[in-house]
Amino acid sequence: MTIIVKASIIHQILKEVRQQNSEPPIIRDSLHSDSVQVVKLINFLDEQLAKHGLAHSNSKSFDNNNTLSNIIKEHLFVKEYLSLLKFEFFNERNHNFVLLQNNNDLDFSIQPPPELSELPDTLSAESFQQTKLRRISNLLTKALHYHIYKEDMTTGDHLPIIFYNENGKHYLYIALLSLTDNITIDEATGDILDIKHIDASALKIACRIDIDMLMEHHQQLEIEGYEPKSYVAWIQRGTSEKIAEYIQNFIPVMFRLDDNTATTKIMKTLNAYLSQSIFNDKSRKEIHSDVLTTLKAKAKSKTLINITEDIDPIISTKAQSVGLNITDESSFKTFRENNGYAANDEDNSNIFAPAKKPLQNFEMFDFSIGGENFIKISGKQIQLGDKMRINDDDVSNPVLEITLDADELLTVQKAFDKAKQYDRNEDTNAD
Amino acid sequence: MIETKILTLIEQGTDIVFKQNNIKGNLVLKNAEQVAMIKLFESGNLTKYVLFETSALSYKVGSDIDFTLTLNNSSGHYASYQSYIEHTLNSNEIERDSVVYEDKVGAESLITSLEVIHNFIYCLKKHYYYQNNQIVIFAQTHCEIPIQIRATEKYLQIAKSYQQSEDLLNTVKKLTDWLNADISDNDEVKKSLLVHETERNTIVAVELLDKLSNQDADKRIFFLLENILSIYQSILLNRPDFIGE
Repeated sequence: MTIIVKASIIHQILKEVRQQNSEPPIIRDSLHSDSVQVVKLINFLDEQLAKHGLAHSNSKSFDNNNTLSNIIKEHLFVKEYLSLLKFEFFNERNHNFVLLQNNNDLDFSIQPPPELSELPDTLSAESFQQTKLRRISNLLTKALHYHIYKEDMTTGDHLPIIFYNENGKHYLYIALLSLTDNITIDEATGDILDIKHIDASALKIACRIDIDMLMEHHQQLEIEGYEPKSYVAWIQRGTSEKIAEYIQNFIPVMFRLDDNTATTKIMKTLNAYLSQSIFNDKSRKEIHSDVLTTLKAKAKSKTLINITEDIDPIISTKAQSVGLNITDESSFKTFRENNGYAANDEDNSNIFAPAKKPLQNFEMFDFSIGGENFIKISGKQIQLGDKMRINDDDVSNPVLEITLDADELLTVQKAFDKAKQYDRNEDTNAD
Repeated sequence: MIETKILTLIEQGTDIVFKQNNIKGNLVLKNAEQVAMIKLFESGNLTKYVLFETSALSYKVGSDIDFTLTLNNSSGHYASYQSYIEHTLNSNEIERDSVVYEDKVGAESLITSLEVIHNFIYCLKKHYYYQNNQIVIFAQTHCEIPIQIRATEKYLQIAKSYQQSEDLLNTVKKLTDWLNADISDNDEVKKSLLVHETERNTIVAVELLDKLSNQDADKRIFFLLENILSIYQSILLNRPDFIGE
């Protein structure tokens, strides 16, 4: 695998939780000159993507201000000025249009405006394309800055933006790294000092965008029946704060990571997994109950759940405690990926804020009457009171009533008949 | 409106079966709106009325999903006639504005007739003695009328005959109204015409004892509903307030 870094820079967005007055982002002057560290960072992000990346999406619109799709379209894709240019050539970077030699394709898209602080030295050290990508990174930072300040609970962080080419395909990585303890980025210049020290937990969120697919989507917008691929891959880590919304608005994503749907989906998928798993009935019920409890707690505290970090361990811990060996193949993670959590599935987010309402559909009741193992009754809580009810009209003689339809009567009758038959045999023997 | 949503699902679905408080069926997802509808059903926002379940784990346009709606009967929404009839006959209060989805998709609605029948039975339960699903009528002797909660088919058959005969329907209504008539009405003239509640109850009881005692117990309620025209005529003859109709 060959990675060619096209442009890499680390800007910074400054914001504390609940900070009202906006502080401008720190826009770095120049691109990283050393691509060795950048490739390491890409590898690090790729690793995290493999571990924690499940949600995928595509762009909803290319026309909204302050969005990645719009910025990329304007400055990498749009060629509407082609006809105006005729055969004139421009080679001034600060001119509105630049002409770049890019994969034998002429690029007439609009050159992004420079920062006022842009230095002539920077320009002379860069290729046309590098200048353009660096300026795009400035715009992306400002757009994300806008979305981060729109939400109360967000915080700013170091913002690596990397345009690169891997095996001939164009990608863009954007990440938010909070580096408080380890000095791995030079605070003054934004240079990457040492990637070895980047702790996985420092990564809050990142997305990798397949630029070729994004471009295809934009070109095919008008074509009926065209279904865009899911070219935005998410890495979602940690659950301490609400991160999903602003970054979704920043893209902006087509299918919102819907918390209601995601909540229902994970419980349904869990139940489907458990019913085909090697766990016995008791363990299944316990896992169901533990996961439900975790989701309820998260819903109550309005915090995010991370399926791989919060739910998968519940299952593996249970497996260990009952002495079962869950292979990768028979894991919940593999089951999920084959059942609605693959790259192109909707609502496949690994991380979401559980919603309380859908959880009531999965609440079970479970009780025993006449001692622990005499009669066990369990079922869905939501159906209590309809099919089964308490009759305490006569408080001295309370009765639990379960209505039976014809088929159910047969089933119950069979059990009773069987018991009677046994009694009769015993009577015969006694005679 | 929850009713519209459920009806939409029924209309767009195939192989719809109404059984007890369930509506089962299949749905081929044709567009994003349908996917959104399914998600709404699963969102927990409709739990007061209905529980939606499917074995499908993801919803792709073009895929065929099974579904089961379980209606929460205390919401006044019922999947089937069976569920509605059993629930209302069991209930200790008059149900109003019930929605029965099996009825909504049928050729003709039987709800009006079923409501009239239910109001009549409820009125008998209230004015006489009711225990263990039997109405017990006392006069010189007594007679038990089991209300046959599970005999849904028979009730439906009677409801159909009521639907076709305004005479039957109106007679049951009139008898119910008379038994329920409010003596505390302030209209003096009307008041003078009304018979005291106990007296009314006795008149009807005597008539019912006469007509029902020789029927098999489990057929009594249906005999009463089917022969209400002649029974009402006999009651009229004994009504002191009857001034001719």
